[in-house]
Amino acid sequence: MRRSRLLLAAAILALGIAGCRKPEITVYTAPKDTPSAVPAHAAVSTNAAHTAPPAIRWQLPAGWQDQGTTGSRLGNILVTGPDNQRAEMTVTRFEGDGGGELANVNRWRNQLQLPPIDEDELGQILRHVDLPAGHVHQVDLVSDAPISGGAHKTRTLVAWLPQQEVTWFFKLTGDDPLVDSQRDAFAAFLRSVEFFASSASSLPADHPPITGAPDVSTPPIQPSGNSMAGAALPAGTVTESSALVWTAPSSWTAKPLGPVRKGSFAVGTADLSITAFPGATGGLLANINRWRGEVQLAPIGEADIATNTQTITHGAFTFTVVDLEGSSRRTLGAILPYGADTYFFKLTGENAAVAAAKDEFLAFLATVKTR
Amino acid sequence: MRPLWKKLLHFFSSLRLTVVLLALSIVLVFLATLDQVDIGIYGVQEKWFRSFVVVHFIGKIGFLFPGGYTLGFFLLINLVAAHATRFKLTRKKLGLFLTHFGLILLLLGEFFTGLWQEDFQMRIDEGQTKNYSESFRHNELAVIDATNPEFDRVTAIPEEIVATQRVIHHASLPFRIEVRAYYPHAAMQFAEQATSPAPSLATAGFGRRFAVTPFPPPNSDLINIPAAYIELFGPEGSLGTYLVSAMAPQPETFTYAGKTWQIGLRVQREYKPFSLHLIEVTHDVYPGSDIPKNFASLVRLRTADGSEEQEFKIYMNNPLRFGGFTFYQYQMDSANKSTVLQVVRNPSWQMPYVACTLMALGLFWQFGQSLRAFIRKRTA
Repeated sequence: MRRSRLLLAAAILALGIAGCRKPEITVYTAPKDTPSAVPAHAAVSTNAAHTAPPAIRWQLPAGWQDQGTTGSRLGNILVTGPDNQRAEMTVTRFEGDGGGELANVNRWRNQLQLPPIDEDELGQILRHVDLPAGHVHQVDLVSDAPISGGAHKTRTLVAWLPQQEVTWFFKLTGDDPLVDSQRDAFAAFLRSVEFFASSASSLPADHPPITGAPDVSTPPIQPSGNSMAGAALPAGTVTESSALVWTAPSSWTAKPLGPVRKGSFAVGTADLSITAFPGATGGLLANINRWRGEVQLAPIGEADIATNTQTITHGAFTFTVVDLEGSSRRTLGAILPYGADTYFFKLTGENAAVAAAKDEFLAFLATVKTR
Repeated sequence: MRPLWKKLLHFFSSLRLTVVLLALSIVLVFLATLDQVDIGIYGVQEKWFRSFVVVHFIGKIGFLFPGGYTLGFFLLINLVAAHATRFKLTRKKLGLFLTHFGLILLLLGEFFTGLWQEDFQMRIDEGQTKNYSESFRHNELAVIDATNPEFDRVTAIPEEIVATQRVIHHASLPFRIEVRAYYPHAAMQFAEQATSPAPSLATAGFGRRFAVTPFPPPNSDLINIPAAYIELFGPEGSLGTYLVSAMAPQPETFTYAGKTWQIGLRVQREYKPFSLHLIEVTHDVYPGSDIPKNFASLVRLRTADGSEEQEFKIYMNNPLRFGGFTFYQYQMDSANKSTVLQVVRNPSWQMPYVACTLMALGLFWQFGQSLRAFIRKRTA
């Protein structure tokens, strides 16, 4: 019987060995993070940034007058309004961060005879906007009283876009009522900003030289947007910039394209937008979580991408498709890396409208092809 | 009158107990399979199989059920006790002994696997080299002394500690960390885009521009994405309150006491004494269809001291085993030229193999005996 007692004790001991694992703080030395592999196309533009800063182009909103470049100003634009109201838009570029956020904002405040502010107050007035060209910081400043005997207060809208080695500044300043009325135009202008390699030397060896593309280009084309109904371009003109084409079902209504949209349709009450941006635009996860946030869904982690997405292949194209149903709104999105760009097909609207259009949307993806 | 331990031994060695335990195991598997619809496979494993007692609700009626560990433990005791009392080791019964011993090893193997196995994943882009894997579902607050240009000194604080302790001290840190708010699952958005954010407490860093919107923790296979507001205190007072979130792409950087620090919530990392470089991913489909045929990752393994370097192709059923780790092909994003390997460390991974071999030998012996007796009878 001694043997049986021993065996029993051994079995209980085996279970006891386990114990519980308690979370503990650990300290270790680790090599520094290496950045994720840079796609070939991104590497080209990074190198270009070292040799020559990227050049810029934009689309002028209606009524804005291009005054050319002067000195450090890469853009000089005049905006006029009723009662001799005037405003001036300037585009400048400075090395590094251009002197620091707080110093710059206080300089602009000083120009409007406003007292300086500190870091905390700056945090409260800073606005952040994600644009196709990058992430911009924005402030909106207005003087307390008319300056130098004018009839109106002065308002300054400034947006700045930090890049790797330079910072771009877009500053619209002038009579308050006029500047206030030009907010949508200012936003449309910012959305239209595009950067491109500034010299032929940064192009691949076999690339034909870019002709007729000066460092700064200001084609006087009309912007779109609700505030300027009817000013939009005919659809075909802007689609020229898209390397892909598609065929929409006859029940969809084509809508005017903005500076960002490569395609735009009304699908019942839902909206379908097609956009394209260079590079991976923050990665699949960041984009999915951005869309999830828009329909009030909780974010997901890297490990959950596979279970929350569907991969659909049509010919050479592989779409990553998500179906995000919030409490009232739903988004069907398809993300397609193509060449150096990432294309986003996004159908968004009320739950019922998107549900009704799901089959059509998936069939639509099959019509996407190269130009 | 029999002593108590004898009564216990009699109870634990009874065949009746075996039948009851096996019947309960069948019910356990059945209920867990139904529950998988709601809580996913990870949840089922934790709730039903890697637990001692399960509290389960069907509608509004709740009940207790013995968990996998309890049933496994009693089956083990039952088997051991039966051998101690009822079975005698003879040449004839050697096969039975071997089979049962194999079964005991199998039960213990699963127990130790549940206890010791660690699962990680390693996401690598083509051309990238990685020397750490990341947890599937655990996060950590990483406080990094990034002053040295050659390497980082990392103090990794598991999320459980951030979630439960208000004040965190550690000898490696010149400041103490106070957790002002902790959200087990929350989205980080630009402040102007958030519709119902938690109150912002950030006084320093990028957190001032962002808002966190808490969500109920996911009850399926989805992982938690935590966020927290943490305030740092040096001897001179507060150094600021920072927002940390597992959604943030980069840690917060600041300088203190002449050193550069980084702080951020991230997926728990485990560094390896070797690195993997992804040379190429291949994704084959069956001709004329989109049905995947094979995913493969061609990697180069290099030890930290450079003493070993080899190329290896990882694909389904052909994992790479090195340094106690097994790397399986797990997921692939061929459009973005990226692979995800599942990295498993299981010190008891050989136990099921040994157990199955013993059981096979035992059964072979046992049935061989019967066959021999049968043939002998026929020829007689």
